[in-house]
Amino acid sequence: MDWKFIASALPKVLAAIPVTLEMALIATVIGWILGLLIALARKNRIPVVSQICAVFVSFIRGVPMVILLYVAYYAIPIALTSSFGIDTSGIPAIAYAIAALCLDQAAYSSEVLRASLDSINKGQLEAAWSVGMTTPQALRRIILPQAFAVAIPNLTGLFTGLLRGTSLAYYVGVYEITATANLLANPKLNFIEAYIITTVIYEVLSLVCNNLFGKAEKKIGKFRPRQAN
Amino acid sequence: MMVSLKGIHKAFGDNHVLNGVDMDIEGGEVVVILGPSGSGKTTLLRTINFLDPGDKGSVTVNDLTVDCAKHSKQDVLELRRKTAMVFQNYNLFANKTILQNVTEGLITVKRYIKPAAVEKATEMLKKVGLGEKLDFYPSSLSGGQQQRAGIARALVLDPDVILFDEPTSALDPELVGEVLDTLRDVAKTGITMIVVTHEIAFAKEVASRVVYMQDGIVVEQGKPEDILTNPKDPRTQKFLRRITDPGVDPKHVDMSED
Repeated sequence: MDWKFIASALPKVLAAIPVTLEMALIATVIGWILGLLIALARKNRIPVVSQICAVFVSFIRGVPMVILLYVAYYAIPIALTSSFGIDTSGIPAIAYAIAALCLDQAAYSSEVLRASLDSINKGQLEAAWSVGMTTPQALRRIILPQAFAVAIPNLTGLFTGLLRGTSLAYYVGVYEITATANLLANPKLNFIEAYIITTVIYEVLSLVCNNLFGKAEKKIGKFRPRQAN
Repeated sequence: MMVSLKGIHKAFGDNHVLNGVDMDIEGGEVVVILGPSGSGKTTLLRTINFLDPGDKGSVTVNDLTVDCAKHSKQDVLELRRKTAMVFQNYNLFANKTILQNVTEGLITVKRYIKPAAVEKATEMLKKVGLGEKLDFYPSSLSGGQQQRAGIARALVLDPDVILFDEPTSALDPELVGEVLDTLRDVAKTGITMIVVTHEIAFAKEVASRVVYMQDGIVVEQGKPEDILTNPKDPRTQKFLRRITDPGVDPKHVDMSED
C-alpha cells in the first residue's frame, strides 16, 4: 500500500466531490419533476401523452446507463447542430452527462411516484373537492404531500443509485471523483489505492445522503400512523 | 327553494342506479334518505356535488342551476362551494392536523387570513368537543372523533346545504352515539341537511322529512311520523319491518321476497 500516494491524491479526489454532487443534484431536481409530470400524465390517462410516456419509461429502463451517456454525448450535439444549426463546441461534457442522468431519473422516479399516488385513497381527493378546492389545489396541498411521504424511502434508494451512477460520466470525460482518481493512479499504477479512496468517499456520501433523506422522511411523514424507524 | 333536483338519472355501465329522481328541499329542512343498500341513496347524494355527475337532469343549489349532462368545471366548482359533505369514512386530510383540516377550506377556498381561519376553526372544533385535539393528526383519533372533525370541517364553510353520507355507518357501535349527538346539534342550527343513514330512531327524532328510496326512485316521502309509523307503500312497509327486526343488520337489509 502506497500511503504517500493516498496522502497526496486524497485532497485532489475530494476536490472533485462538487462535480459529482452537481450532477446528482441537478439530475435529481429536473429528473424528479419530469418524473412527477410523467406519473400524473399516466395516472390521469391523458391520451397520446400517456402512451408516449409509457414507451419512454420502458425504453429508458431498458438501456444500460453507459449507453445512455454515450448516446447523449454523441447524438445530442449532432441533433442540435443539424436541426437547429447550434454550435455545440462550447457545451461541456458534463451537460450531456446531466441530460442522460435526468432522463434516467425521470423514468425511474415516475414509476415510484405513480405507485405512491396510487396508494393515496380516492376519498382524499373527493374530500378536497367537497370543500371547494380545485384539482390543482387538492394535488398541491393534500395529495402530493401524502404521496411524497410514501415515496421517500424509494426515492432515497434512487438518489443513492444516482450518486453511484455519476461515476459513469467518467466515460464521456467528466472529471468527477472516479475519473480524477483514475487519472491520478495512472502514472504509477496505484489503482488499488485510488479505488480505496473512491470507495470510502462514495460510502461516506451515501451515508450522509441517507441520513438527510431519513430526516426528511421523519419530518414529511410525521402525520403517518406507523413509521419505520 | 334551497335544493332542487330534477329528473336525475345515473347509470354505471348497465347498472341503472338512479332512474329519475325529483326532490325540492326548503332552507332549514333536515331530509333523511332511507333505503336498502343498492337503492341509489348514496349515489343521489354524490350527484348533488358532482362527485358522481348524473347522466341526465339538473341540480339547483340556492340560485345556481347546473345541468348534469352539460356542465363546465367552473359550474361544478361553484356548486361544490355552496355545499359541503360528510363522508362515511370521514376522509379527513391525512397530512393535516385536526385544526388544519378545518382551516384548509377557509384559507384556500374562502380566502380567510390565517389567524381568522384559526379562530373560527377552533371555535367550531370546541363546539363538536374536540378543543383538546387541535394539533393531533387524524390517524391518532378514534372514528367518532374523526367524524366529528369531519362535521366541523363541513360546518365551518357555512354552506347552503351539508350532505351526510352514512355518517355513522363505519363507526364502532359504542361511538355512534357521540356522532349522532353532534348531528342533533347541527340540526338545531337550522342549516339545511340531507342525511343518508340507517339510523331509524335518529330519523324519527331529527328529520323534518323522510324520503324512502328503492331501485333508484323515490318511493314515498313525508313527515317522519307518517312515513315511519304509517307508510302507505308496501315497499316502505316491508323495508321498515325488516330494518326494525333485531336480527337484521340495518346496513344490509335484504329486500328479496319471503
